[in-house]
Parts: sequence; C-alpha cells; structure tokens
Amino acid sequence: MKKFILSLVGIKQLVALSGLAMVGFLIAHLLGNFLIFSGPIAINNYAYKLHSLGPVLWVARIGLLAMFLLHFSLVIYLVIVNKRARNGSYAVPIHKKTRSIFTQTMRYSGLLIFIYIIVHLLDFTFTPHTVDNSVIDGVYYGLYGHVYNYFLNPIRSIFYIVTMFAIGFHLVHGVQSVLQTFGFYHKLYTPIIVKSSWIIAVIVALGFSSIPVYVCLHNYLGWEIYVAT
Amino acid sequence: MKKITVKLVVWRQNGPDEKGFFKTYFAENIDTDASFLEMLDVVNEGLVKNGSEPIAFAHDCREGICGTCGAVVNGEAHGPREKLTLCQLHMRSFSNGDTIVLEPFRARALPIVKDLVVDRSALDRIVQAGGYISVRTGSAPDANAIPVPKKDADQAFDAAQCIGCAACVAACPNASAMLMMSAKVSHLSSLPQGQPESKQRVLDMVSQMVKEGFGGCSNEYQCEVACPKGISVKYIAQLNRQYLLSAIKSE
Repeated sequence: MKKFILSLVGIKQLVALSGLAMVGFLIAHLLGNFLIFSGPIAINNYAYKLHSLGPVLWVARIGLLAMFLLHFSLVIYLVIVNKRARNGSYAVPIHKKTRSIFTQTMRYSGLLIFIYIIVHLLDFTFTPHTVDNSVIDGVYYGLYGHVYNYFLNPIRSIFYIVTMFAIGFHLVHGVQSVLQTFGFYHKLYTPIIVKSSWIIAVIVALGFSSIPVYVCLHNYLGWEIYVAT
Repeated sequence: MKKITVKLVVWRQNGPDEKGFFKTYFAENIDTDASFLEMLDVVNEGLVKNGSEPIAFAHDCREGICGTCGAVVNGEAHGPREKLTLCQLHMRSFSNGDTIVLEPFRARALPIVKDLVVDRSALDRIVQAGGYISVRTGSAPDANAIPVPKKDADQAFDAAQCIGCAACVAACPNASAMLMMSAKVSHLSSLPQGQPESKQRVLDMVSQMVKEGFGGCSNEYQCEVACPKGISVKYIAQLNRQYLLSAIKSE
C-alpha cells in the first residue's frame, strides 16, 4: 500500500487532501476573524475561548502544521518530477487552450502563501499583545488593538491583501481540482463544483481583505470603537 | 485548384543522442487539397533530388486510425484543427506565406529517434503492464454469453478509441501519459471481461508510467483538447478513483 500511496497519483491525492483540510481551516479562520466587526470584546472573547481549549487546540495546531508541511513538500516533489518529464522545451510554446492564469500560477501563488504564513505566524502567533502594540488612543485592547495597529501600516495591509488574492487564485483551481483527483466526475455536478470553487475563492479573498480595509476606514473616518456593555 | 507556398521551420536531429536544430524549408506550389503529410512528401522528394537527407516523420495508415503520425505544428499537437491526427490535417488549413514550425512530441519518456520521429515504446510498456484480460482458451465462447449493459459497452468503446498517438503527452505541461493510460484502464475495467485484473491493472499501469519518466496530472486538461479522438478527462477521474480504492486494498 505504501508503495502505491507514494506514486504520482497517490501523492497528488495526498496533496489534494491536505489542501482541502487547509481550506476548511481557512473558512473557520475567516468566520472567527469576522468577529472583529463586532468590536474588541467579541473577538477577544473568541480568542480567549480558543486558547482555553488547551490540548485540543494543540492537536488542531499540530494537525494543521502537518497538513501544511505535507502539502508543501509533496508539491515540491511533484514540480521536480513534472519538470523532469519534459525533455527540452518547445520552440513555439504549446497553446494554452485550457490553461488559465489560475492553473499556471499555482506554484507562485502557493509560494507567496507559504512566505505569508511564516510572516503571519511571526507577527501574530509568536508576538504577544502588549502595551507596545495593542493600544489605541491610550486604551489597551488586546488582540483587537494588535490587529488594528498592524493594519494601520499600509505596506502590511497591501501585502496582506495581495496574499489573500493569491489564496483566491490558488483556490479557484485547487478546490475543484480535488474532486477530479479523487475521481469524482459528473456531467451535472462537476460544473456546479467548478462554480462553487470560484465562490469559495472570492469569499476567502474578499472576506480576509475586508479586515485591513475596515481598519483603515475605521481609523480614517474616526469611528468609535464599539464596546458592548 | 488553389496552390500555396509555406515556409517550414523543421526540427532536424540525426539520431537519439545527436544535438537537434531547426532548419528552414519552403514548400512551394502545394495543392490546398493535399494532406499535411503529402506536403512533407513533396518537400522530401525535392530534398532527395538535391541529394539532401529527407525529413524523417512517422506515418502508417494516413487515415487517422493507427496513431503512428504526429508532430507539434505551431505549438499544437497534430496541428490547428480539433479531433484530427496530423495525417488528417490538410493544407487548406493554412494560408499562402504562412510559417509552420514543426517539432517532435517532446517528453523524456518519448526519446527522439530522428527528426520528427519519437520512440513511443514507453506507451506500449504501460499497456503491457496491465492492458490485458484473462480468457478461457479453447473453442470460441457463445455470443452474448456474458451480458454487458449498453451503457458500459458504450463507455468501453468510447475509451477504446485511444490510438496511443501520444498527443496528450505532447500537450501536457507535465508530459504526463494519464489520458492515454486512463483510456486503456477504462476500456478494460468498464467491461465484465476486464474485472478479474481491474484492481491490479491500475496499480501496475501507474507504476509503469512513473518508471518510464512521465509526469503527473495537474488537472489542466490540455490533453483533452489535443486528443485526436476526443477522449474525455472523465476517464482520468475514473482512473484516480480506481487507483485510490485499489491502493487502499493492496498489501
């Protein structure tokens, strides 16, 4: 069995499975992030509850890290094998009849996402919320303040939005590709799945991007921070 | 009768280990009703008359059923028309003064023998690895002794149209033989006669494909539009599904 799982078709299925797991995580993460629109208490409570899960949280974290490493390392292997398979390049490149910008940029969008995940972990997971980074107008807001101050930096915000669109690009092909890789092909359902992967990609890209946009608007228009009693 | 003159930029390579290069030829006063290979025949006759080496290209039936011919014409396997082999392409698909770049199918697993001729025996070895069924020897079996549902027979017949020309490999960004292999797998596994080996078949054929140095599938479907027989990528899905089930059940 090991021999077969570790052949081109099996590896591709592991890539698809780990990718799908990360999409699931991403959607959960997005839903959590939306709590920022409800103000500091909502999102800080959510973060507190997540952290108080203790061992369950660590199981999820290790699982996610394993999926991430599996996806990334197997893709590198596949890229090498696939590159090697073409012996010499065509003088007139093969017409890109069915290749879209999304499929052609999979490895580049993936690389950008890889870099961003490291940056994101360093900036948020490994950086505690302190009075140096989480204070808005003299009040300490914890995670909310941390995120708020982070996105006031335009370079960080732009890098974030670009990466979220890279994720969207990655998912347009990635999500629907999973079904083909696992052998699901249906005259009626496959076109619906292709449309659904577009919808997921757009929701993820726009959903995450809405947070830096909201923070910048919030600050620019001088809205008050909503603290429910 | 319309006549055209086209400029050919052709890949020339004297042998498998020789260095290849492009050479320009002019195919003059070619009848537009001539097939692409007939045009090459005319060019070759001129070359032979001049004492030069003719352009080597593979061909056999010249009616699109044998899978022997094939080259990449201006970046398209088997040329600009859909669902045709190179021999079925006619010069009416080109205009006077066109430049036609002619290259062999390029893949590590399909080494160039000479000019436009590639060695497709890697595909034969994939078929040998699993493309067989077990049958009873002796007298011929009764007709219709094994019932085959119409739908399954149609699917097997559809997949069996693959002529093994390797256009899918040529057009694939990863030089993968998945479409050809999936057609062979579906052809046999859709029929009751192909059931005894159906689990081992898909495992053995994929192993052989990897061994031959083909790439993997990245679901870009370039193969489907390049295929002269219009084999659908749904057969790749079927192969993936069978592979997963067989791999899990294998020891």
